[in-house]
Amino acid sequence: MPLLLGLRRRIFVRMAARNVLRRKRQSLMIAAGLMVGTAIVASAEVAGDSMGYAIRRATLDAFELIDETVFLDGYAYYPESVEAKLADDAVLRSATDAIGSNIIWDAAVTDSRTGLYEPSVRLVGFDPEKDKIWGDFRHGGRSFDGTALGPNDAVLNDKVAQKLDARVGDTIVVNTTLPQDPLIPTVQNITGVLNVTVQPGGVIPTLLQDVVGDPYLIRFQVGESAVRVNVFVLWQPAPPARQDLDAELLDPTGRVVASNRNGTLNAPDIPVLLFHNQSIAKPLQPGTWTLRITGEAAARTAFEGNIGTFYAVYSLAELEKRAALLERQFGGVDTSAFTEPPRRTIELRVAEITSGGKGPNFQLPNQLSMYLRMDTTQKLLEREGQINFLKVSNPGGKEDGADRTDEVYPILWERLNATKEGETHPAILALRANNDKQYWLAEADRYGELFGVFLTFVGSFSIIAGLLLIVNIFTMLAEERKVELAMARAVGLKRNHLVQLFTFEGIMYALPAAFIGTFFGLGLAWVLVTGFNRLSDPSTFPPISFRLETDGLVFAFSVGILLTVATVYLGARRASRLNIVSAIRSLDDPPHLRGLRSLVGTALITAAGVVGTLFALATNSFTWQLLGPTALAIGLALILRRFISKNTTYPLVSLGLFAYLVATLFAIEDPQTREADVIGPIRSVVMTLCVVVFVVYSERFTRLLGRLASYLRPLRPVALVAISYPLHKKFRTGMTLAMFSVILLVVMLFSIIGALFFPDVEKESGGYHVEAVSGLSFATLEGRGGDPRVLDGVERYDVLPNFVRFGADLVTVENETTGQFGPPQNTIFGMGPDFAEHNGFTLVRRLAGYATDRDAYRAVASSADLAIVSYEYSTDRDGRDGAHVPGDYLQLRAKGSVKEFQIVGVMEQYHFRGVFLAEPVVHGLFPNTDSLVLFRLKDPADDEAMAKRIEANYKDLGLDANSIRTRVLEENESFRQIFTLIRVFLSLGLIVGILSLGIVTARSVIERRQEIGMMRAVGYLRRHIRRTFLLEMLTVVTLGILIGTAVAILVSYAIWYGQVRELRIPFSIPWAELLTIAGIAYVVTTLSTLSPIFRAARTPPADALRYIE
Amino acid sequence: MAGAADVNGVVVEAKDVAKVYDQGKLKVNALDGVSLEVRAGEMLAVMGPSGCGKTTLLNCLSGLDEITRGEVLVRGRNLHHMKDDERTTFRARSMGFIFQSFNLLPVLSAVENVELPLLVSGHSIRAARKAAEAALTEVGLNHRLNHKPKELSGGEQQRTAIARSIVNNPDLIWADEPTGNLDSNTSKEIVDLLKRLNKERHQTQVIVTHSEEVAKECDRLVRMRNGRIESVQAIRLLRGRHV
Repeated sequence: MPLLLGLRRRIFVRMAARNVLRRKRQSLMIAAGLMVGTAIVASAEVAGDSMGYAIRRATLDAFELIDETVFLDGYAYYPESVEAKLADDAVLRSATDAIGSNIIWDAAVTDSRTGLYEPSVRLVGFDPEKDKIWGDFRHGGRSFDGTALGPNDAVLNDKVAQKLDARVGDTIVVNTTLPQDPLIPTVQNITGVLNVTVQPGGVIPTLLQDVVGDPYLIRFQVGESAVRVNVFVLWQPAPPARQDLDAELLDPTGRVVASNRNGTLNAPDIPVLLFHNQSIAKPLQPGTWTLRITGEAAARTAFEGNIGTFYAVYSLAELEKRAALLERQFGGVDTSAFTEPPRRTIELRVAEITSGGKGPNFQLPNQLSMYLRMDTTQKLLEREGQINFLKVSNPGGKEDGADRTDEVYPILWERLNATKEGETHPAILALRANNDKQYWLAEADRYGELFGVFLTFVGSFSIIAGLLLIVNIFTMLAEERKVELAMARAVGLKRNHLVQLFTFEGIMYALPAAFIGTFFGLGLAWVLVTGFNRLSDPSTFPPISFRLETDGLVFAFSVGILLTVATVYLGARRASRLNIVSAIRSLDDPPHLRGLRSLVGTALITAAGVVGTLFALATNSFTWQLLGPTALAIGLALILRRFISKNTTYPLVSLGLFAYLVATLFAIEDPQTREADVIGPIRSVVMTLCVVVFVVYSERFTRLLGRLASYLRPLRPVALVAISYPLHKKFRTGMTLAMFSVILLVVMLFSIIGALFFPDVEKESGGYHVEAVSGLSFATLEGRGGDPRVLDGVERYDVLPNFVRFGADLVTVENETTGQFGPPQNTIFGMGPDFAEHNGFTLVRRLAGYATDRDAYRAVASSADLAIVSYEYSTDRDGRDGAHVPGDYLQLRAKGSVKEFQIVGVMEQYHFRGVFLAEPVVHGLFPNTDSLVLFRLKDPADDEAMAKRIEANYKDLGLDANSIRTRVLEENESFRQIFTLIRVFLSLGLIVGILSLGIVTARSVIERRQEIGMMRAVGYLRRHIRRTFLLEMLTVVTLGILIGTAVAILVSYAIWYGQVRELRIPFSIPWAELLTIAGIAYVVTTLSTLSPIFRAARTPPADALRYIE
Repeated sequence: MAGAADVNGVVVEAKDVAKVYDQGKLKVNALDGVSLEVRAGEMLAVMGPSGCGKTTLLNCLSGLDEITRGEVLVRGRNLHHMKDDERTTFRARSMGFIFQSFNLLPVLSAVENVELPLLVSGHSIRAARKAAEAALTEVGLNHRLNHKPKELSGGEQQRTAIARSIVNNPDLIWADEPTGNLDSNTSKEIVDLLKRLNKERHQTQVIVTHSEEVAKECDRLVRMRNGRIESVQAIRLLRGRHV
């Protein structure tokens, strides 16, 4: 539209063009300011596209040619005949390119040459011949298909090779557990019951009947897919005539499948044990089974025991359900000793190292993988003829293949179901098809899009700041040209002509600015992507490659133009409202006459505010809670200023609105409310603006500050002058301050929120540097490991027995479930006096009566009923901080009873999540514990290397050792990376701030040359002038920092209160980081304003006095 | 700072002063070999058509501007041999300035505006406030101490500027079109005030003006044209009180 108008009024276009060219340097600065908005949008678009593409690429690389998969929960094994059947299926064959199989398992690997050990490596079994179609391995520009591998050869991926320092030709020792079929027992207790059929799961009360006679029959039900029956019967005290006892297990047909006669009872307390096993492929016959006990002696003695019927369960949900049932029945009794699967060891030769390429690798960035021939793998795992992973490739390549999943996936399901017909093997019956690649690609696209939106959202603060800058720039331009604009008006130009003139000028700045800004945004996105790649750990996130999509750039360009022109138009409208006479005479504008339009406007805004507020009350809507009262406040201010001065009205109203916004800030509590996510930040901007208005219009307060500053001798002549100009130019000062405050708000806000997810390693580690876990129970490392000299680098170590309990309600505080992060899990740690004496885990809360943290630890270590808990136990089910405090009682359910402990301290750390009790208490409750060893090193910087050495040395204990620092950082890695990226992105906002202060200072110097001349005339030295401008600029910067920081702290606390505390993260303010940001803001803005300030001081007084714009 | 004039009663002596503005290809001779003596206690008016160099002469003689040639002695001291800081301090202690557009800081009250020269000279806040109030009282604005410039009339603003110029008791006042922005009645009030200060404080005043009315109230009149002094004429008998 303006362009069309321009054709009609070419004179305006010419005038606008000449204005642009008149002061080239200033025009450049304006264009630079205008570029920022476009650059932010462009960089967010490009970085979002790049990130999305990176995730997509990583997904494609992980799956390669695999489009669909068939496997069972937990990678359970099934006969490889399934693969043959599917491969032979004509329908499937015509719909797909290939069907293949693998074994995917887990193993510990030691390199014999380097002695380095890696406890968990993904072991992939593949048939090199059959697997050829799935692509080659790749390494260093070379590719190979693995057909040359011998039965004792292995291919390591580069991640494992790096961890083990392994080379081709090395011998590696692979140690793995034998896969166990997922058998879960249903256990029924039996106690001295005769001739009674026990129902599964039922517990019959003790009923010893003094009945003489035999046999004693106990009947029980066995369902479908049961593969094993275990019977356990114990007489206490042992019957005198032990040899008189016989036990037999009978199947539903009455056939004796297991028996135990006389000889078993060769000791008084040895029970009757009966086992009967079948294979998964051929399960037990379902129906009523019988346990027959004969022997007169048994009838006179009470017995107890249980019958366990083991079922093959291939559903994770069902497994969890049954595991929880068992936990309730036998809580506290470590059953791992009974179920610990046997292990196998094999020596292999490293034949090749690969950097990826094969599909089944699932080459995720941090995946440690090793590839063996299928026959070697099956032999090692004693799973000949079995596989646990089927893969399907659709027609097409690795990317377009996924596009056909919609077509292939239903066919795969259908044919898979067809192969199940007539099968009895429960694993085959449970097989499931998965459309993995399609699912993960969709997820990748979603994450990419979210990321772009997120960056735009974060950047929107900078855009807001940029828009404020544009308004500021055009207001200054208008002021600068006030006289000529007034002249133009005097000779006949109408107000809307001035608007057009300015809009044309704006377009002339905006077009090249948006164009260059788009490319600048590209550069910025490149910096973001490169910076992210440099800063992030490649093992947790794939490197992002720079990706350019024209749609995004066109969008950014258009948005840049639109934002600039719209803002310029609004600025121009403001500028056009000048008073001709006062402008020509360089006088202040007289107060505006408030006409009917103004009255109607005020009435409308106020009415909208009232309606909005009522609507907010009625609907409890987040948006209206902000918009209604804000509009009402503006309306009130407009009304009040008719009767009271602005200096009274504005601070009063802004303070009222601020108080309301703070009071309702904590309503942002419902994390489900997405509305809150959007409105929350806008609310914080409005809060910032309230404070800015308050400060700018609280002239008395500011003048008082100036007066007080005058008491400082070096500031005496300059303090009053320094506040004079900012207070005189309230709009400009307000805009500059708002812009700077908003920028600081967002920088500080993300720093505080980021810091919440950036754990304090010192607090988390408790002064230890390496943690090592073992499934074995031991009290010391003395006499263990190959080389005791490994401990030379260790200052001290503490062994904490621990027992992991699953289930949310097994530990409660005040009989309430506490907050949980992740699956319900409680670790019970045992602490000895040494740990109590030397650990450095600080307590965030401590029971009164304990003078120091150490006192509390000592008390727990020597008490049977005191506990110290990690942070999460002080929260309630919803994660509310401080829901439980020291003094509360913790209930631990074990062995069917509840034991209570008084909490004497809450730890600040949440890395070692659990309940800390005295060591004897833990041993008493849980006979078979795991061990956690904490090492304090002489050289903390050596943590990574020491963890490797410790792990390698204590293989006999199966120690998995890691640097605590690394683990703590890894736990928070994704948050850290995102916040690192945000920081880089937010630096844009700082650029806006710096630009703005540079422009404002430059403009201020020009405008105030007469003032400078006067000051120099009455005796101000050059250094006084410098000091005046510096103080003025620093005042704005300081206020901006203070306002931004204060609001950021308030808002971040509210965000934490509403959403973050659920994660069991205590609120803390990273003062050092905030001070650093403030310092950087000071230094950089000072540097950016030095040039105009020095120019001002150098101006000869006469030149300054003579200057007329 | 009402100090003694030199033995000849000359406070300011300009010798062959020239000022050339170098505007690239264009060189403007704003002052072209001006020699002039300003005598102690006199009110000297400088008149001439626009662009004749009146303000430039005032700026050069007061040390606000550099000169291209010649020398300016104020109380025997060569202004243009001083370094910038030295000259500024000298100016602050011995001179006062009054400008056509008053040049008051808009958000400072009248008394705060008047305090500025004292604060920069190292006076304490209390002493500066006391002296500023006294100066404003002397110009008849004791009832307007805490008013801001926009709350004052043009005449009151110029009175405030005059108070600022006399607050540190200088014996030399430079006034550049002090009545240029004022109506005739107010102009007269300001001239009367300047005359009173000249009389009571024995101040030497150099007044650049377009107004014959103002000029005729002075002791001598210097007429300028094209950067040169066209004539110097005595308007009233020099009272010679300070000689």
